[in-house]
Amino acid sequence: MSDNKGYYELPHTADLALHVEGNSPADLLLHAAQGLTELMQCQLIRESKPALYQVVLASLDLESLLIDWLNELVYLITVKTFFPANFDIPAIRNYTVKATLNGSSPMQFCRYIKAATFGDLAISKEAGYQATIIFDV
Amino acid sequence: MADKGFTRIAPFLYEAPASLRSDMRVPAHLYADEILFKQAADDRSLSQLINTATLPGIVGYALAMPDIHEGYGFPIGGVVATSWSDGIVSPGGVGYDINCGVRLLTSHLSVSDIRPVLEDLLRLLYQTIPSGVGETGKVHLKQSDLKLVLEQGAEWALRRGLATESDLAHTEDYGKLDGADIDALSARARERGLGQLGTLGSGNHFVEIDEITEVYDQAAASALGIFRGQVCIWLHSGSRGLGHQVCTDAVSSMQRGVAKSGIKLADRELVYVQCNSAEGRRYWTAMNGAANYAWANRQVMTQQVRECLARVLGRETDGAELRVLYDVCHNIAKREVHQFEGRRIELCVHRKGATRAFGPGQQQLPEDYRSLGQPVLVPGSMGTSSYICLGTQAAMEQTFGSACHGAGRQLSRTEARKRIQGEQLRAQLAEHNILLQAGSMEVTEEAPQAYKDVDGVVNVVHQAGLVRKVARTQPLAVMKG
Repeated sequence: MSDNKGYYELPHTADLALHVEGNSPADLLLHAAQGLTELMQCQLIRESKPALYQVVLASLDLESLLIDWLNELVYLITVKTFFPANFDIPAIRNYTVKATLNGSSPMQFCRYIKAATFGDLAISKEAGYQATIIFDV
Repeated sequence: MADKGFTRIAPFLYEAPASLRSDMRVPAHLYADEILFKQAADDRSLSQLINTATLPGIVGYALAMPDIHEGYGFPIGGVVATSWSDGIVSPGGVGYDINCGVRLLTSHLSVSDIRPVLEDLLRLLYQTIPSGVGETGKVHLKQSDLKLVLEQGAEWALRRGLATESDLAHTEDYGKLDGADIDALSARARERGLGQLGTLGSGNHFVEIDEITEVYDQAAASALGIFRGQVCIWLHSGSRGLGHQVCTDAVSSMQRGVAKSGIKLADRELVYVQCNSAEGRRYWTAMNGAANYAWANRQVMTQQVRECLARVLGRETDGAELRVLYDVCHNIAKREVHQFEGRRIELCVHRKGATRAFGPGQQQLPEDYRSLGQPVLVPGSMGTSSYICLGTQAAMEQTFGSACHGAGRQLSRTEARKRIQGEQLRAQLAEHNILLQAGSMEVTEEAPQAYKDVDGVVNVVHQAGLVRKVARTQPLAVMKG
């Protein structure tokens, strides 16, 4: 994973850590989602067909929105076997997101993630938006 | 000599005083030797341990076992007891894999009996027990069945002929926590539980066929029915997606309450509610349901292991002779009564990557083990030893009846991937005559080099008096999730 994509993996002893950057909250969510699908090694299979999901979330603050967003994706990937490839994420207001996800289902992934956690989470707003997310695996 | 604010106060005990940080309510205690302390100081484990000392209602000290390593919120290997009456429960202090645990099955077979069929057995186990990243297994529950699984735990399996009375008697809490309620689970948590009973999962979950290679305490070993050269089978799994979703839901919803109260958390994953609040009771009943699901899960897999063994031996009854020596959970919060500073106190004991280690005489133990103490099962990594120990009175007095849960990770997953290749790992295990079947590509992250020295970890808890070693096992064949 390289940092010019807006995300990269960091070392973590027990779990997985992903550093994410974005120019806006929506951009941060986009890169976090792309980083997640890469961490989980999502892949198309022969039976994959186009699929679409809408995600609507209203959270307490930006940190909560980021974690709720990623856990929504963990659910869609692991339970619905949906590989989200394209994300339409309009500007975020009041920590609310209404996103359209285009992708494929069924699909396969090679790494299971239990959840995105709040562990040591703080979104820095000094140079755009930056966060490190720890995923329980 | 120590650092990061810790000093050695006993041969195998390090302490950070409550004065180290203004938000600490109690001291932090870490059981370790010099090597393990240094390893703990290498990542954020110690600061995570100190963070847990800030939790409201914490009693005595924030504890960590020698297999401590960096997690999220709590360190892995952490134990926190809070007052039940005015303390808190923290879902992050239980973890996402609620009642992840270990079960040990003992056979009447010796290594020479199993060697000729070992490869077949491993292959059959791999074909029979769904493992890896997939979501579903062969058991598909209806909502009404799921309700019963959540309420009854391992007893659900007993009622369906998938367990024996003895299996349940030798499972922590008899494989069932009371007060589980399906209505406390979200629709998603329920959905995730419908198709996963009898599945191993991925990551560090495993089925491992071992040989007992050393007996340290002959009298205790005889009482437990174990002997040198005996074949035994370890099983490590948890509550699967249902448990993960219960924790996700609770951690997310509790953030609002904490924000509303203006509480400043040392780490947001430590989010909590009062045990006695409506939200606390809701989490508790959901967590108990997930714990019961995990016990039913391990019980269904136990039956699958028995069937596989019977098939490869070609003797229908032999598989059933696999006896559950014990089953422990190592990600849980329990309502327990302990003696502390001369008084009996009702506690919520969080064990996050730590095992209950009750000493002799405790009513919660099955009758045949009551005079011995609770079996404490400490699996190593796939190429190293695992241990069967017994809980002690000292554990009751010092750690709220708790001990370590495994070797504890040493390398990050990224470092393990860099350093270890899959083929190299297979060759290394083959050199030691250990067979491997892996369900996912993450297997190199679980290589023995990624873990601490389990012998050192167990020696610390043994020498600190928290457990006494009974026997050691070595792997013959490993099926990784």
